[in-house]
Amino acid sequence: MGKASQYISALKMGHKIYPEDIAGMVGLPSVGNIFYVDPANGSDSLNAGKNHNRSLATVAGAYSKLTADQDDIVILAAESSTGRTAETAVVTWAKRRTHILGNGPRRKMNLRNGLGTDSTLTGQTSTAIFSVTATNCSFTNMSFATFQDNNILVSVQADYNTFTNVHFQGIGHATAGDDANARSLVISAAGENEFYDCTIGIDTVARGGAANASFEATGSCPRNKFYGCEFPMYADGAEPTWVKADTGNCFERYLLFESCLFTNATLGSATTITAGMDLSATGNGQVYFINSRWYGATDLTNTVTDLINDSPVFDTNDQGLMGVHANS
Amino acid sequence: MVFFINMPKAKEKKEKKEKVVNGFYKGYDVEWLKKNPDHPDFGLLKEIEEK
Repeated sequence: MGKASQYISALKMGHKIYPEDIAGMVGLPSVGNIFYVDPANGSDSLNAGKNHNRSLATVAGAYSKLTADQDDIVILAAESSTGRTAETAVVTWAKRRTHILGNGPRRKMNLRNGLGTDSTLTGQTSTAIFSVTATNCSFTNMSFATFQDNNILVSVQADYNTFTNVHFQGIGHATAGDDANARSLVISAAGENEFYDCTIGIDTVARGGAANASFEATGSCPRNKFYGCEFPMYADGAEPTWVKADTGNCFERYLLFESCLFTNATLGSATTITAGMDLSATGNGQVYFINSRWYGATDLTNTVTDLINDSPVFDTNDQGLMGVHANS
Repeated sequence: MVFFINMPKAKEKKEKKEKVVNGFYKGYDVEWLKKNPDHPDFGLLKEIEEK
């Protein structure tokens, strides 16, 4: 068996085949440049990130090397237990058509390649740890996490972004768990973002005493969609919600949850929350709750005006009967 | 002379329970905390040991 370098002239002369030369290997038929991040052994100051042996250390370091609109990709290929970076500042993802891919098996929860926060990155009350302000980006097979006292983990402020197999490990500090402004995920004035097989929140840090939310849509947010996603929670007060969408137009046209699980660990001694969803009566659209299940809340929502639901029993007022929307 | 009558007391922050209750201590799942040594409150495990 011969080696390719014996037959391919370019290789014979010492040229290398880089991942970006092999179309499709990271799930896109055409890619621009690839930059590697290894939180354990990488370095933002010493390495260029062009191959795994010369990895960068943080997502911020890799982001600075990306060019918009050529499908540049950051590959998180960690060599540590958690596989999470230690970002020292909030990251704003503002370059269109750029992507992050975790180099691990397809999972829904606690993926071992991800963006994490250094112990010094704490006390963020209103700025998200990771803000997406560009369109057409994708985030795949990775976790976003903060276990410091930061209120908002990820804020999506632009349209047409896709999250696949992403765990949003937000509200990971007990102080944030007691803060009304804490969120794992926020969509702010942005539409047509899609989430496939993601997990939003954690159930290992208690939340309560304030009405925080796993996910919030605020501003005009048309046609955002969640497929096969889980929303775990451990409440130690009745106030938190899985979903907060309580401003005008925040589910404009519609907001979709299909085959999703909303769970609060009440059979594991968590406190029953009052309502799973805090919805606006003037959201200017429908909230579709299709083939989904919830547990650990007295009511699924505080108002059923715009909720279109095919699951049995979504309000205590239904007395255990199938809840059918008036317009269905 | 100024008198202050019925001044409201500063609200004390509600203290979390300081026992391990159903696997949780001060808002954290103890088993989870053991697996997250990079968590800023990892030191709580020492508190539990000392009790």
